[in-house]
Amino acid sequence: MLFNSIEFVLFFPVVVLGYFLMPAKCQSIWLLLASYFFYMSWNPKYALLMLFSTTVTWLCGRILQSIKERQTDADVCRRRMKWCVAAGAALNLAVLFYFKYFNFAIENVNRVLSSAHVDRQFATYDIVLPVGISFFTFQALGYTIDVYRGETEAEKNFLKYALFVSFFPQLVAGPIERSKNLLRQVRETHRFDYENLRDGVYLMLWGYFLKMVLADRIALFVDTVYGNMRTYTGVYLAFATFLFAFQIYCDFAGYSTIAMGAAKIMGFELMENFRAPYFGESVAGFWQRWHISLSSWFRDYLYIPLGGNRKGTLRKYLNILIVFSVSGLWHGAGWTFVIWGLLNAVYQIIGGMTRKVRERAADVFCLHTDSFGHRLAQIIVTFVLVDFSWIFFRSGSVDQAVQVIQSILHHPNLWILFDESLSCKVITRKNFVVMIVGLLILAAADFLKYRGVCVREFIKKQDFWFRYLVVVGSVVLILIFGIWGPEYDEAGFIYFQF
Amino acid sequence: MRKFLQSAVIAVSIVLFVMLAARFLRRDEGFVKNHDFYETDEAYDVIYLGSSHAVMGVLPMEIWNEYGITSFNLANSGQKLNGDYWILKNALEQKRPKLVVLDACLVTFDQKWEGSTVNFLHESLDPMPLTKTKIQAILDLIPRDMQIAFFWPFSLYHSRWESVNSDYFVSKVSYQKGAYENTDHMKPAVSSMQELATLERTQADRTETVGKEYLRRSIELCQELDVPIVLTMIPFYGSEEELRYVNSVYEIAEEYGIPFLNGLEENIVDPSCDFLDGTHLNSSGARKWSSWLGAYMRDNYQLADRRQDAAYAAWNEDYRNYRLYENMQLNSTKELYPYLMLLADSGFSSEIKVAAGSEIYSDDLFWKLLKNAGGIEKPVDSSVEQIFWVDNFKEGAGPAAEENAAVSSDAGADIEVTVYDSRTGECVSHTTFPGAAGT
Repeated sequence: MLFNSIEFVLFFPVVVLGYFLMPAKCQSIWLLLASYFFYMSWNPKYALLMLFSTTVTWLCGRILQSIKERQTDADVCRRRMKWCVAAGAALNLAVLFYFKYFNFAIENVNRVLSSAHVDRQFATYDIVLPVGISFFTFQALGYTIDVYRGETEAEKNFLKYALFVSFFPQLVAGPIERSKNLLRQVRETHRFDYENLRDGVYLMLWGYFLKMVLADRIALFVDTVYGNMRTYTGVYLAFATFLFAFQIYCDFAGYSTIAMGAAKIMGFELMENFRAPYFGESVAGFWQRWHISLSSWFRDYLYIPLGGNRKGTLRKYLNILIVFSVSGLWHGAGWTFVIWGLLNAVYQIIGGMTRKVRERAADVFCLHTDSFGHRLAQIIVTFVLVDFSWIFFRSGSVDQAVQVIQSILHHPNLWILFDESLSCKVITRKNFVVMIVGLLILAAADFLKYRGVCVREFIKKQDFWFRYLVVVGSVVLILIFGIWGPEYDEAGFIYFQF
Repeated sequence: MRKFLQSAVIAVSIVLFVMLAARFLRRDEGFVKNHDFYETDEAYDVIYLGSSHAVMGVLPMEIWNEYGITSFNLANSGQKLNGDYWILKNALEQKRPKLVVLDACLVTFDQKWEGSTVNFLHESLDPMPLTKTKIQAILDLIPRDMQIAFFWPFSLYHSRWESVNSDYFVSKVSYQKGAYENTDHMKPAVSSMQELATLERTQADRTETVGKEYLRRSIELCQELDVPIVLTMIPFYGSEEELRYVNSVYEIAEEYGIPFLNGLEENIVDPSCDFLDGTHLNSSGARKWSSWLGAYMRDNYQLADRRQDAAYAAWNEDYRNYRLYENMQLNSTKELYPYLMLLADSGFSSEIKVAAGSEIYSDDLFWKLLKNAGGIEKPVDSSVEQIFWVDNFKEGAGPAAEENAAVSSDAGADIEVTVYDSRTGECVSHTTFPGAAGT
């Protein structure tokens, strides 16, 4: 059940209505049932995986709490707790590995065997990746580590903990919540609040706009170009790659924003996942704005335990390489994702290595690093670097990524920027115009966010008629201009009589 | 309270605006075709069901003009017998006709669903009011993943914003009572087809098909409600396999004790003039079949002639509008053969002048079409200008001056045609054609 499905449009109001009509004691059970129903709408069997992950991490939490309370010897306590965390993590990661990485591992083993001329190949399995497994596994693991660190109390109530892991708004695409934030809220009672409703609706509308009007429309362009690389070369691919940066942003941020809005309506505050990422002035800055819940997860639970930047520059760079390779793998089981992660790590390492030189150069040439022009240049350079790495993210294989880069470099068909090819050939002109207008709206909204202006707050301060127009107009426009529902083909509808 | 009211206003506005958008962006064809049936209280003596054969082959307004029978054509292209069943069920819940005529040509069809006809199903089902029967129809006819588009067509049509043009702002009306008259004619190479094939009745294919299952359900439904039903087979060129199925309809009709009018065995249409493509009747063929069917219905079902009934004055008005539409169709036809085919219409009387020595004298199809239009025979002498009349003028009417006609003439043309309204004598079209065949 996707957020942009008719099923969700029917499901969500029923859940919200039921939630606020329930006695406080039953609210979390209601939400838990709703969350499992939501998850099982994809594949009922995989709910068992989520239940397994929930049970293992809940037991880990309980055991950790018990060790803490009973063991007086600090060393023994710490050692036992580490074993407990390691066991919980191993079980969860084993499940994640099997479903997400097993075939990838076999393919690589086969590749090695093949290049070593060993006449033995292992068969891959037909494994369907359970939706959201990376998200709920990381969220549950984060909880175990939080309990280990004493940053959160182990939850006694299994049902409440199960709701923390399975909370449907953020279950399948994040944000990956922290126990300190979401588990606390799960324990609280939530009453209907008009302000929450209004805020939530605004957030959901913005999310739907990003997902349905922009991401899915841009996808039409990008998929067509990447799917027909012989026809669409050079600037087509460069433009599609430029657009892909926004497609993935709008897709991901759209889903996260809908999740935030849905949670908000029910009184839950989820963490912000994207903060005008393409206004990042460095690649590191980009990562502080992009998929914040995951970046901060890696920072808190991997980068810092690896030593972070406390063990010297070389170790810091190594840690960055490790974290971003793992981040790449988290996004998908493929070398393209690893390269994408590594590229982002390399950008940051080169940025760190050249920082002094750049600062010196700025001094020598009397550059004002806080000037508009300098910051704009930084934003553009960062975007270009990040966008280049998206080529690997978008491509189906490393070979395809290389072909994309070669095509961009070797087919300088710049004229398509000036005739109508770009705006008419890939998607219809009207769709192209809607896409560009949508992107301008996104750019304006993100610029305001970058400057610290909250558009939602601005709208809330307006008179009723204005808020009325914003909500009613947004719903109607999203429904008309959004890409949703059964595929419509005007050509297929040309009236013929036979 | 104030906040509650504001939320309510917003929610109601969203619903209203979405409904408005849905209304604006919907495909109108089905709504226009079926408007009179679903959106008026008009009662009908007969309703017709079937596929493209029936929607193009039965012209209710011609039947009205000739017999005064009120009828509506609920058939549609690609409409299989399972679709017919549900549309019939819904129709009988809304109106109670004195007769149902169901064309069984797709009795051969053995699937519940055919993706390529989804558009036509939208035309048939979208205008139906949302009733329990419509819900059952959608659940039965449409694959699960496409049902939403039938329950809420806006989910499919919202992206039509891309094709918005001036047409969207013009309200459309049909005066054909559900029929779709086809004004084209077979190309000369195809029009050499002579007789329709038939097969001995004993050679029937008794395989059960989805088509037969729903044909039976339709018959049983009518019999349950005590509404007489007649099965038809509108003339078409059938393959041997199809003809075996056609013969099996005799057995089904016999099983239920109902008539089966097999147009393939009746000498009603002229294969060389009356088809669009060998399968579907054109306007000329449809007029002949409608006339024949109307006579059958009048003689066998005591259907009253309502032409003089003041309560049905609106039908006469509709017929006048229908004639205006026919005039427009004729005037928009620029090719010789289709134009001559359209003259086979008792609503038109025409004068045809053929220049002396024209090449058209050696064009057999030209003379066939003239014979079809008004019994005109090819003259022996082609060296002088020939003037022919197709005289369908009603009593007291005669050709009037041409000043009101849409004239499209060419001084050097071999053929000059002037067409008059048979009722009023008003000139409705005046056009010329060159003498070279096929132009």
